[in-house]
Amino acid sequence: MTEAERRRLFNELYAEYDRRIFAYCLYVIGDRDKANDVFQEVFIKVYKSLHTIREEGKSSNWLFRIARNECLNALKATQRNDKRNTSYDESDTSYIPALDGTGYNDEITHLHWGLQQLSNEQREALVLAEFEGYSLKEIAEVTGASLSNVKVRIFRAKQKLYNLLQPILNDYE
Amino acid sequence: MNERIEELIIAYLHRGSTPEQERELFEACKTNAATANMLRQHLIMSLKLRQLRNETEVPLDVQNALLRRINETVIEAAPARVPSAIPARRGFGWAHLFGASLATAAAAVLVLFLVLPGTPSPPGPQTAGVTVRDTVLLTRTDTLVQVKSTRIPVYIVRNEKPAAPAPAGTAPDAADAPGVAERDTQAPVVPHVDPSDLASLQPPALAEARLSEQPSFLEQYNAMLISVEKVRLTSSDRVRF
Repeated sequence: MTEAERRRLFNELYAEYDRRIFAYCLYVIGDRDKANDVFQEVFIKVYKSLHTIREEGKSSNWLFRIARNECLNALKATQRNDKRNTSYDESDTSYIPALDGTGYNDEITHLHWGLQQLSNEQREALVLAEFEGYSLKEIAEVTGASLSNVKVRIFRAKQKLYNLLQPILNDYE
Repeated sequence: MNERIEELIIAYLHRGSTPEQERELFEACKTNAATANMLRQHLIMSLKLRQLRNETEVPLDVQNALLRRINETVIEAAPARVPSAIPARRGFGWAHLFGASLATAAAAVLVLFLVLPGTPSPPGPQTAGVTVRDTVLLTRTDTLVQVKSTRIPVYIVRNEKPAAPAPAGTAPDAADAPGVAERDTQAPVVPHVDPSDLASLQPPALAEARLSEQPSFLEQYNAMLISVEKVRLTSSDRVRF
């Protein structure tokens, strides 16, 4: 693969997936600064290993696998897992971030916060399903989990998120 | 809520259900309010999360940083694709002679001895009493395999046709002498001295001895083996050291 071909293919992939990969990194890691770094690492790695793309039409899975590995490495490094496994009393709304208003930005902030309360596996499955529109089978391929496991993760993630945000959701509905 | 309903809801919302499963879910929602409420909750969360997705933009500074790093990666990778890097130029050493081709090594040895300051000139033919015009040349058939010692200067001397005897008391200009035009190198030109003059300056016994010692080039060749392992010469060449 020549340098020109490599650059052209990279530009195509970046134009199509930059926002999606960034969203994945941001919501899986949950830290914007770290997500910025990981996002760059993902595309550096993509650039260096473009010659390993074998099948047409599978580039998104290939890309998300790279992103997933980078995110997992970042998560391991920061040992965030322990914090997220903390159990919350869902009837207690005092833990929800206090905000000045109930506008659109507040809703976004609450959703960000709610996602960070999920386990890594739940959040990853939810991001792939809702942000990327991946089918359950595709999520199973990317994450390496079984199909039934993916279903359970998504169901429980959404249920937990709904229960966490229910006290404030009516304001936005 | 049984696991079957959970699976039906997730499959329905994420493109994993068959028409039969969809019918089964809708029937369950009609008959069970809790199932309908569960489906509603999941739909709300899906809509909210997709709204969050649209809020995600790659910051401009991150894009610029990535572009800069990609360019750096390209620059770093470029030298690695060159088959072999040109080694840095080093000073001359004897090791160069051993690693060079034979002809190059032979030429290097000869040229080096000629240009080294303070190196004594090869003994002129006049000392041997031979009326030849010797010019240090490297002939085409010379083969220098290996230099064993560099302490003894080695010269390969082409034996050219004898110059016409110069008038007594005069030494012809070297540049005018026949055969000199064939010189390949700027070797020091030895002034021509008539052997008879030379002989007259030396004790007769010594001169005679020198003449008798005038070896064939094979003998010189053998003597030269002290410093050179193998040299091939033409019949017109001689070796001095």
